[in-house]
Amino acid sequence: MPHSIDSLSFEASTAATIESLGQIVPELIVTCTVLAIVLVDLFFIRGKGKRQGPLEMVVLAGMGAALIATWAGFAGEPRAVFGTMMVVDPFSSFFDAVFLLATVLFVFSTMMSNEIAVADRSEYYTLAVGSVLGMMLMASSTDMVSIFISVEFVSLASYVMAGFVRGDRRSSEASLKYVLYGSVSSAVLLFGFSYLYGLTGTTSLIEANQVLYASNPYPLALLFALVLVIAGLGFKIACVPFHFWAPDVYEGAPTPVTAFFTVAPKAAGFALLSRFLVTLLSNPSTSPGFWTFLGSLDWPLLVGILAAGTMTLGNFGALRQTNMKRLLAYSSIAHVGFVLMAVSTLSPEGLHAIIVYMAAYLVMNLGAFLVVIAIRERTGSVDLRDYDGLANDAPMLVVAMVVFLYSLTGLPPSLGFLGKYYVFAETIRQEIWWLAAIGAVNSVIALYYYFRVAKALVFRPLRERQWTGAIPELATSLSVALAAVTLVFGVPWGAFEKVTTYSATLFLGR
Amino acid sequence: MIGLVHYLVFAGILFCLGLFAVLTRRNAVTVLMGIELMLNAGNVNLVAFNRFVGSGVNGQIFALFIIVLAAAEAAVALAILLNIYRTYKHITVDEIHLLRG
Repeated sequence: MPHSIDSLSFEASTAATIESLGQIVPELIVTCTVLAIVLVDLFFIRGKGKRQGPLEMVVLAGMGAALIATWAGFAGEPRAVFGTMMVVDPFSSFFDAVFLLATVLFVFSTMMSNEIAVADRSEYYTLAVGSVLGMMLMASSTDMVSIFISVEFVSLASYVMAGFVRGDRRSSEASLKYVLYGSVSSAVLLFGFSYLYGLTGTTSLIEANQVLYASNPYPLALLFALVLVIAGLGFKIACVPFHFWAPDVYEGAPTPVTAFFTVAPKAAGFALLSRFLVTLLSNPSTSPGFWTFLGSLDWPLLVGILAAGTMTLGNFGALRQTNMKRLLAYSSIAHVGFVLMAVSTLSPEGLHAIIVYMAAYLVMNLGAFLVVIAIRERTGSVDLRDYDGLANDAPMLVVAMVVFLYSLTGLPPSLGFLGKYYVFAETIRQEIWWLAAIGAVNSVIALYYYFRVAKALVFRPLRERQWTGAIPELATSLSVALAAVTLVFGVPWGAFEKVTTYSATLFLGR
Repeated sequence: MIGLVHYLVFAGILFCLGLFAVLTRRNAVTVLMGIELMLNAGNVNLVAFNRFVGSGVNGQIFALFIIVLAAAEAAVALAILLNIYRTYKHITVDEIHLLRG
C-alpha cells in the first residue's frame, strides 16, 4: 500500500510540518492574537468594569506584528508548504496585508460606533480576528480540502458577526439569511469539489492541473463540476446571480461589520477565485504574458458574462436606494463586477489589476464607511434623507466623504481611477471590447448615485433636528488621512507599481 | 454488483432532495436538514470516488473534515435560529422580511 505509515516517514513528515510552520509566521501571529484576546479578557477585564481600550490595543498590536511579519516575508521565494496544502507567495502576502489593514480600520470603526456593546467586545474581536486567520488561509490554499476548510472558517465567523446585535430584528434577520444561503452555497461548492476529485483523483489543485493537462476524458462532467464550484465561490464574493443575499446582510449587520464584510472577505474570495482558476485551469506551457484556459469550459468568457451582469445589476440596484448601507452594498456588488472583469482577462496583468483594485477599494470603501459610521453617531440614522446639508455641520468629514465618492466613481486622480485604469487597460489589451464597453457605460451610471450622496451632503440646506451625539474626533482625522491616501496614490508612483506588479507572482508548481 | 455509478446516482438524488427541501420548506430547521443532506451527498461522492478512482485516502480524509465542518455549521446555525426565535417568536423563514428592496 502506498499510504502505509512507517515510523521513519512519520518522523520525516513531522519534521516537514515543523519546517512549514516556520513559513507561515503571519498566520501564527494572528492565531496567537485570537488566544491573547480571550486571555486578556479573562484575566484583566472580566469583572473589573468594562471599558474600551485594552482589547483594542491587543488586536492592533497583533495586526501590527503580523503586518511586519508579512512585509518581512514578502520578498521570499514562492513556495509550497504543508505538502501542497498551501503556498506562500507574493500574491498571498499582499492579500494578507489587505486583510490585516482592513482589520486595523475595522477596530477603529468599532471604537467610534456604539452599535456593539463594550461588554461583548471580546467575543466580537475573537470572531473577527479568527475570520482574518481564515481569510489568510483562503488566500494561500491550493488544495480542495484546505480551500473548503478556510472558506468555512471565514463563513462561520461571519454568520455570527452579522447577527451580533442580539434582540435587534434586522441584525438577526441578516444573520439568518446569511447562514441559510451561505450553507447552501458551501454545500454546492463541496459537491463541485467532489466531482473534481473524482475526475482528477487528487485534491491538490497543482496535481489536478497536471492531470487535466495530460488528458481530459470527461469534458461534460468537468464542465458540470466547474459550474458548481464557480457558483459556490461566486456566492462568497456576491456576484450576480448569487448576489441576492448581500444587500440584506449588509443592511442588517452592524455598520462596522458591514464595512469589514464589504472589503476583507471579498478580497479573500477574489484571491481564492483567481488562484483557483489560474492554478487549476490555465495552461502551463504558453508564452509569458498570456495564459490560455484549460478544460472544456471557456471560463474567461463565463466570468466575463458574470462580470457584465454583476456590475450592471449592482449599479441599477444602487440607483434607487435611500439607505446608505444598502446603497454601498449595491455599490460593492458593482465593484465586484469590475474586479471580475480583471479576472476574466486571464493574464498576469489581469492579476495585477485585481491587486491594485482591491488595495484601492480597501482604502476608499472603508473610508466611506468610516464617514457613514461617524454620521450615524451624529444623526442616529443611515438614511440618505438625513444627510442634507451636513457639510455645514462637519465640513472636514464631508470633504473626505466627497473624495471617497469621487474615487469610488473612478475619476482621476484617485486610487479608484488607478484601479479602473488597470482593469480597462488589460481588458482592451486582450481585445475583449464588449466587456470594456459595458464597463465604461457602468462607470457613468455609478457617477449618478455617488454624486446624489455628495449633492445631499453639500448643496442641500441643513435642517433643524435633534442630534444624537457628536462626530467622533478619531473619525474626522482618520477619514481625512484616508482621503489624502486616496488622492496621493491616485498618481501612479513607481514604488507602488513595483510592489503591486511583484505581488502578481503566483506559485504554480510548474 | 454495486459500482461507482450507483453511488453517484444515489448522491445526485440526495443532493437534489436536499436542494428541494431548502427551496420549498418554510421552517428554518427543515431548511437546515436539507442543507445537511446536500453536504452528505458530497461526502458520499468523495468516499465513492476514493474507493473506485483515487489512490490513498485523500477523499476519505476530506469527507471526515466535512463531517466536522457540517457539525460546526449546524451548531452556529441553530444558535442563530434560537436568537431568531427569541426575537420573532417563530422560525418561519418567509415571514422574516424586514430587509428588502
